[in-house]
Amino acid sequence: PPRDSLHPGDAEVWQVPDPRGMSLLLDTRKRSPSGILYAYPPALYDLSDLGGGWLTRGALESGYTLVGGDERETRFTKYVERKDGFLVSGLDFELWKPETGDYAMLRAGSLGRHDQFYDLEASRAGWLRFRGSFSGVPHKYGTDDVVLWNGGGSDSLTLPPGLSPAGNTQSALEAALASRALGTVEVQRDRTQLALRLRALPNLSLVAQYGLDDRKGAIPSAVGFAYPDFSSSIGGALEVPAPVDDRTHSARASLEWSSDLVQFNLGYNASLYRNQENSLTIAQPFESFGPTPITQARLGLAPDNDWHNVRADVAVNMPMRSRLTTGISWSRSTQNQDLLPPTIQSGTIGTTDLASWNSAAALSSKSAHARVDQVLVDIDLSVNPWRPLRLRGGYRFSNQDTKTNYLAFNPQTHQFGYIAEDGGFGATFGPSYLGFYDPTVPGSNWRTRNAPYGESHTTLDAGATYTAPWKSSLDLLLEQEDVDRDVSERPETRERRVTVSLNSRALSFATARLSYKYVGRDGGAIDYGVYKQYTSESLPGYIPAFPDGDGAHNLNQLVRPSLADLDGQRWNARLVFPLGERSDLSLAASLRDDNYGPGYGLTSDRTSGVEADWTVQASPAFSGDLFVSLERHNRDMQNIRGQATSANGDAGGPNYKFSNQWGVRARGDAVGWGAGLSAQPLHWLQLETRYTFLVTRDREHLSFASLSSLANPDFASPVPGTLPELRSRDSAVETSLRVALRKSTALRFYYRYERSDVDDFHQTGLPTLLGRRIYFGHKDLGYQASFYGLALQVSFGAGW
Amino acid sequence: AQPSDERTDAPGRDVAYVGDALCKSCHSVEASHWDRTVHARAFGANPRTELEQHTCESCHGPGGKHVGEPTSATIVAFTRDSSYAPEVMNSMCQQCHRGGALMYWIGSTHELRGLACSDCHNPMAQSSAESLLRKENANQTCFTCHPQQRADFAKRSHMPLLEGKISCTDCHNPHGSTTNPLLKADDVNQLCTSCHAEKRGPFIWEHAPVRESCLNCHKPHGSNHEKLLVTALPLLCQECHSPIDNPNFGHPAGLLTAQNMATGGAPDDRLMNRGCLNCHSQIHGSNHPSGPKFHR
Repeated sequence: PPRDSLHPGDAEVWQVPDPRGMSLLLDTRKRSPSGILYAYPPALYDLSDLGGGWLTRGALESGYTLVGGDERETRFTKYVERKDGFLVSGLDFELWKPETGDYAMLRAGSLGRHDQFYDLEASRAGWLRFRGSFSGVPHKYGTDDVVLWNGGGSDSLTLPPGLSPAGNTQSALEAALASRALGTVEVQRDRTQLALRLRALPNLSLVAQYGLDDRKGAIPSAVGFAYPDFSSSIGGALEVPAPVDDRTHSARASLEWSSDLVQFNLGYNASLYRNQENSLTIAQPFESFGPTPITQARLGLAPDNDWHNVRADVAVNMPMRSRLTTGISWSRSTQNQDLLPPTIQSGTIGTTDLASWNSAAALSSKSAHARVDQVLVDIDLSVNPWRPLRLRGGYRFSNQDTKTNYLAFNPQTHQFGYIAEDGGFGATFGPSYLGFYDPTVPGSNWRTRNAPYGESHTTLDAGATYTAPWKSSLDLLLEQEDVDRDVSERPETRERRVTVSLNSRALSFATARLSYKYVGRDGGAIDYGVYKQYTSESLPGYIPAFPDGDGAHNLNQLVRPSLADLDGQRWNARLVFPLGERSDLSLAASLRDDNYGPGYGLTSDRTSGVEADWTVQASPAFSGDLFVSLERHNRDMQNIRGQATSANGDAGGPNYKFSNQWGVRARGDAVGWGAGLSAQPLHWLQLETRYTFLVTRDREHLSFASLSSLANPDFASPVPGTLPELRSRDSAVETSLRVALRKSTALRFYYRYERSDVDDFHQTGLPTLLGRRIYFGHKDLGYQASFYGLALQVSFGAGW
Repeated sequence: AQPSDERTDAPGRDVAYVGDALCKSCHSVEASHWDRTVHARAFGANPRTELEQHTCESCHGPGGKHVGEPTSATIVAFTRDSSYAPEVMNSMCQQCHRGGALMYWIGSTHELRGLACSDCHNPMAQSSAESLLRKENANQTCFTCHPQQRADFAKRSHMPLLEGKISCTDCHNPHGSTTNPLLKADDVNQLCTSCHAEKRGPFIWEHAPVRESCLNCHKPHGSNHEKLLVTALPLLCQECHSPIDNPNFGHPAGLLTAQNMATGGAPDDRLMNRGCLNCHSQIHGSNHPSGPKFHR
């Protein structure tokens, strides 16, 4: 169920533990089979008789909230609304007719604010259940943003008065930016869910659901015109607000049958995405020279898309405590949005008249005709011939088949390719770099068709569980997964996994769950030549850039981690220690150690962590907890700064010289701790308070073979050793103090204090104008801010 | 440790049912809480099967022996001191809860780790708004055994779970699924795009690792890095890309240093603000005919 910032948990703010505890009969506290103490149950409400057999209760909380300190800082209100003003902060209402089992419950909070929620459940218990909910989710990306353009949130960004497209000096832009007020770039997501479950027969349930996600606002996006570093006359990169005005409709209908022998689910799911904006036009603010100034750009926004899924799951219980479970799922994603022309720009660059590229007539296909089909088959058999031993076997096949077939071809000019950066690329580097294939130019290599990425996974597994007569079990699982990719530099890989786990409640003072997993992956040869068929390199008459062929697509010994050879281990331990009658201690430790081949790209990724959680439940009136969390991660990578001298893509070759090699060792840690206290020292006084602290640090250690490994060898002084530390430190105190004035009336004081510091080198010193770049200038700043609330609680039918 | 005398056989149905009035005569506090639960409302007013009519004994088994010998050995208790193994406890729940979302419970990670239903649920009291959980909500229940995820959700970049806007069970089915992380979908991308539908495409220009799995670049719960990324930009991109120095192919993957920050002598977009996405803004896929490099 949804909640808001004042009610982040499900526990109602007027709810207190039952002073009678859990049982009068048993004086020992009850623990779950794993040894965790059950919480004291909440005190029971008195219910008022409405007549006609209906009982009811209800409660309302309303008051005034205040914010103080640096309350405008983005992260203080990133997903919540905190502001001064009156607020109905909570509503809780219940109707119940014991005779028929009919009931209705309504919960709501933050009424009228952007993070409001409503949750209604109406049911005839055991037979029919309706659920409707609404939840507002604000998402702020920046509250200190300087946006140069007018029209934020719309599909057209225009320059403010006084500025003209492609015609402004740096000083004019600087002055314009300085005059813009700080603004907020945010998206409001409103989620509505309706669900109905009908138990039509004792063994048959029907389920229907509908959901609507409605988003409005803007998100930070960007558009470029060419490398901003390479040109002082044309290139440029702009951070812009992209409009968000979309809806996602989701629906589900399913039938669930459940008998002793057979259970099956048959369901249909759909998700339909509808975007009211399909493009964003941006006025280009920088001075642009030459006969054809680049005055504007157009981004394609997310297209409407449909997803449909049919799924069937069947389980059959068989002799010898055996069970066969089969799941089959078929999905289809389609998208057929009308395509934008290759450019919005007009004019002539070189001998190319952009008029032949700026209309739909320049497209080989007027719409996308994009489609991906997916199939999943999952079969599992479990047999239990001898009670202590259970054997399992499984087969899983999934296939993702991309049917999209887009050709970048202009039927007007009979040219393959497109217009890069609305002509900005060609205007910067010359007409041969406009973006389309020119058979007279060596190395005129441009994308001409889409790559239909798809893959199939076939997984076989076998497992055995031995249950020992010491409240313990030992489990072994062997898995082999073959991946076959339709388009990839490494089409085939095989992954083998072995998992051993031990679970034990043998010791009276502990429950232990330990596991170890080995993962090994290898595969076929790496060949980046597979991508030639999707570029003009495969067209007749193509002249390579170099005598031995065209330039390398990528370093041959570098593949993404999911394709690379892998030698990995994972260790996991979870321990629970019941401590006396009234507390328990949980310990968790984990290590993930992955090493990748063949030497470039991500080479190793190691994460380890330890967590401890101590919980005390001294009495219904007093409970507390303390937790500590430590995490450390190391991530190593290697790369080589490439040069364009030949077709050779090997490490150590003429393009990728060892003297240009470099590496980064990323070291990070996170240390967190927190404590909570719930106390009711007097029957009219209830205190809930929690403190949390988390500090994270990441430092990139740089190494390089020579200065030519650097992106900018001319700026190698001082010799780079690390990047500045990425650091965040957050602490928060949250307190709720409730004073009962009468049986049905209470005052609640709420207080939250946050303190935060962030250092992020991506944002350090970030201006709004830097050369031919324009940014919002957003930075996550350190802040201290408070949120106060004083509310009156009124209840009827409640017995506190 | 001593060999266990824990019972692995289901309680015999030959024992007599005694009726809930007798149960409540001793277990009055338990019964007062139980009476407010959805189970009690259903069993009391609308029992759909003969078993449900037995209320307390529907789950705990017939109480005939327990009346004469009121110990945990004569009734199915769902606690650590129970005389029954977790598989027997679970089988009592599975008398009713055996299909639907529990289709894949057998063989699931939680089942193989020996968890009992009552490790997460407490059907004896309405401690949570729904699902009769042991704690006040699903998130707090999950954090008991998954504290690392609690730390992740507190990181600088995180899903709004601690803000009450999302729940562990929005993405995971703790009762089992056809995926190892107990996802409520066939794969990671199907799950992520159920909320982030604008990234589903399919686009005419796709980014191979995006089509493969969102987790190639993002952490699912929280991260020290913006946008839940697994590492800092541009290193994340440079773990896969090493283009040569040619406008057609891109810019060389040289090592960026502090000099490439906004405050350095050679500011470079890849190390500032949105990193590589300052230009490749449509990194999840582009539907613009001029967007094969995700610039449009």
